[in-house]
Amino acid sequence: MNARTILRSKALKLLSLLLISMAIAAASASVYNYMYMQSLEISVEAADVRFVTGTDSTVAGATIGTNGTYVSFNSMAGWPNSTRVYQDVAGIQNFNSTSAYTIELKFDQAGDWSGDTPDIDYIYVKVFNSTDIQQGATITVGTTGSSTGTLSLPASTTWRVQWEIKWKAGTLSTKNVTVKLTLIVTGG
Amino acid sequence: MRLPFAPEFFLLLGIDLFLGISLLACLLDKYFPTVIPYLYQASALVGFAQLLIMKDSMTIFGDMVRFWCSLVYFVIALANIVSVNVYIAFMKKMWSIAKILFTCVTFPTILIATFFVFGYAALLEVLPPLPRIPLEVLFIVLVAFSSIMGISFFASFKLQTVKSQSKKTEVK
Repeated sequence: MNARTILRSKALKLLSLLLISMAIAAASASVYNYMYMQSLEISVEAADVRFVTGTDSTVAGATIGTNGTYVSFNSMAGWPNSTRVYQDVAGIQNFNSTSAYTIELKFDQAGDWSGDTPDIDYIYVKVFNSTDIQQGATITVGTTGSSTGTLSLPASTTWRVQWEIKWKAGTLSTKNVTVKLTLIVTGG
Repeated sequence: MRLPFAPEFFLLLGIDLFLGISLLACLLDKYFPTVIPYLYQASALVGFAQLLIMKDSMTIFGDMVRFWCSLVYFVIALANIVSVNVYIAFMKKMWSIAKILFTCVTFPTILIATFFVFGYAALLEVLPPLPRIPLEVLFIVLVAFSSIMGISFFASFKLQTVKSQSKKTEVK
């Protein structure tokens, strides 16, 4: 056997081993990738940002929902031709002691309020921090997309939510509206 | 505690190590029996089979069992790398090739393996956590090691110059 034949057989051997190696490595990697995706666990944890009761919660008939992820009010009322203010209907609290969260309270779409809406002069919703400084913009209920804008809620902090309601002059006490606001929480 | 990767990562590393030594044994076929590269390929295939079995029985085994099974295979692969190095050095007396193998293959592989195994075992709370070097010290570490490398480079360069000069003097 001459040197060229030996070299050729060695190259062939190496090439075949290389091809088999590539096949085994690629197959193993794809199996591992499948396993890795399968092994991710989706666990349950408490929401870091939750609604909590405020000083006007009782007057407003606030009920904090399960896990503090929603709040409903069933006894808020406004006056005709005069503004009624609920200063602290509920709080938005960041329970995380280290991370801030970005929040946005929003009147999302037209369908989020119903009832005798033409009789409403305005409903404004504002968010205040603990030193009574308004955070973000005023939400005008009825204006689609009206929101506080994105706000950074610091760790272990509670902000209060204020509602200002005014019915048009001469509105009868039988009138009512239903309003839904959305709290968007990101980050953490 | 969420683990950074699945325990089968060690199995995958072991398979790749076996494939690597197989190619190495093929390249250095003068010093190894003909069957050795194929034996290592077969070992890699065994690892692949183990990976397939573990994929189908993930729900049966816990993290610890999967970790130990993968680790045993990985340690066998590592032991084979060391054995190849020892075989070249002591059985074949090829010191220069053994030194190159040690610096380019064996030592880095052991270093990387130790890092991954200890890090993972610490996350599983099998071992205490690895000590953390404060970020502020990293710059000092970089400077210190660069200085040591510079000094050793200078020393070896100077030694080589002295050797060549003494050779020239002997010739004269």
